[in-house]
Amino acid sequence: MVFSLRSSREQYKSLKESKLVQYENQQEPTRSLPFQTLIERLPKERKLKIVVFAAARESLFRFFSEEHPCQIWFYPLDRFLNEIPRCAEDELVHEWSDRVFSDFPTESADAVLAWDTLNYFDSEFLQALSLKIHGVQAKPCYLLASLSTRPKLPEHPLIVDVIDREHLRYSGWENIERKNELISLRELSEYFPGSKNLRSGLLRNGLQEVLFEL
Amino acid sequence: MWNRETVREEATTESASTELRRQPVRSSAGSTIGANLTIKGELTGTEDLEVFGKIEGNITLQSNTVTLREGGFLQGTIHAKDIEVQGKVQGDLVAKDRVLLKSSANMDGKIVGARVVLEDGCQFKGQIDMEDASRGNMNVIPGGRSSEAGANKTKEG
Repeated sequence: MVFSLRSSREQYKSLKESKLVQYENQQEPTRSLPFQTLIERLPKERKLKIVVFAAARESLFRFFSEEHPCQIWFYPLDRFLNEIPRCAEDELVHEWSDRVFSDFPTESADAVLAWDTLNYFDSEFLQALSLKIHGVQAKPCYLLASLSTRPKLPEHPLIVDVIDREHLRYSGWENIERKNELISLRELSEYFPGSKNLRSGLLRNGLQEVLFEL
Repeated sequence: MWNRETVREEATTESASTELRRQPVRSSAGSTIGANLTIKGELTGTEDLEVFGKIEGNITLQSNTVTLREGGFLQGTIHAKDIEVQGKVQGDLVAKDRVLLKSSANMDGKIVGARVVLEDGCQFKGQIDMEDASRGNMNVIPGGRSSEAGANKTKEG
C-alpha cells in the first residue's frame, strides 16, 4: 500500500532544520475538554488498552498507569521525522504506516490518541487506518484527535504532555508552514461512519481537538 | 570479569579501529561488559550486570539488575528484576520490578513490568504492558521476542 504525504519534502526539511522551541504558552497547560471527557468515560474496572500516535512521554504514561494498569502502544511519528535526511518522505510514511499496520494491537483498544498525526496522511491511509481501528476497537472505543485549523503552525504540536485530568501541554516546532490542504473535522468524521462527536474544542495554539466515540 | 554461569557462543573484541567510547566501569557488585566486547548467545546468572558493549541474545538475571549504558546495544530479550536502559535496544524487556528508560535510550520493542518509567527524550517505539512480570506469564520464544509480541507480529503480517 502506498501512501503520500500531504506536505512536501521542503516542508519536512524545514521541520528537520527547525529546532524544538519553547513557545510562548508552552509552560502554561491548556485546558482540554475532549481529554477530560475521555478520561471520565474510560472504563475503570479493567486494564486499559490505549494506542498513541505520538512520542512516548513520561507524563502521559505516568498519568494512565497511575489511574490503573494499562497497556499502551506508542507509534511516534516525530521519531521518523528526525530521521528525514536518511529517507525520502515516501519512505518515511511507508515505514511509519507499515509499523502501524503490522504491529497494531490485535486486542480490543479502548482509545486511540492521535495528536496532530492524521494531518500528515492522505485519504488512502486514513481509510486504511479507520478499518484497522474498527477491527480492534472495544465497545466503546474513543478517538481523540487534534487537527490544525491554520495553514501556518508556528506551534507544531509534536509533543503532548498530560498535566492532569483536564490539562495538556503542547510543545512545538517553530516556523512550520503547510501549504497543502489540511484535513478538516468533517472530513475526519467521514472516515469513521457512525461515530459520535462527543466533544470538541479550539485550543489557543490553533489546534482543534475532538473526541469521537467510534 | 563477569560471572559465566551459562554463557554460550563467543565473546569477541571489535576492531581496534573502533574508538574506545569510554572505559568500562566496574560496578560495585556485579559484572561489566566493556564497550569493545560483543557477546552472542544466552547470558544467565545471579549477579548484577552492566553493559557498555553489544549483546546479541537474551539475558536472564531474574533476581538482579541489568544496566545497558549509553553506547551499549542489545538485540534480544532481558529478563531481570530491574532494568535500566541508556543505550539502544531492539527487543523486549521483562522486569519483575522496574524498567527505566533514560533520556538517551532508544528502544524498539515491548516492555513488561510492574513499574515502568520513561524519561522524556527517550526514543521509544512499541508497547508497554503494566503487568506483574514476577508471575512469569511471559514466555520467551527463540529470536528474542516474547510470545505475545511475536503473536502480534505474525497476525498482522
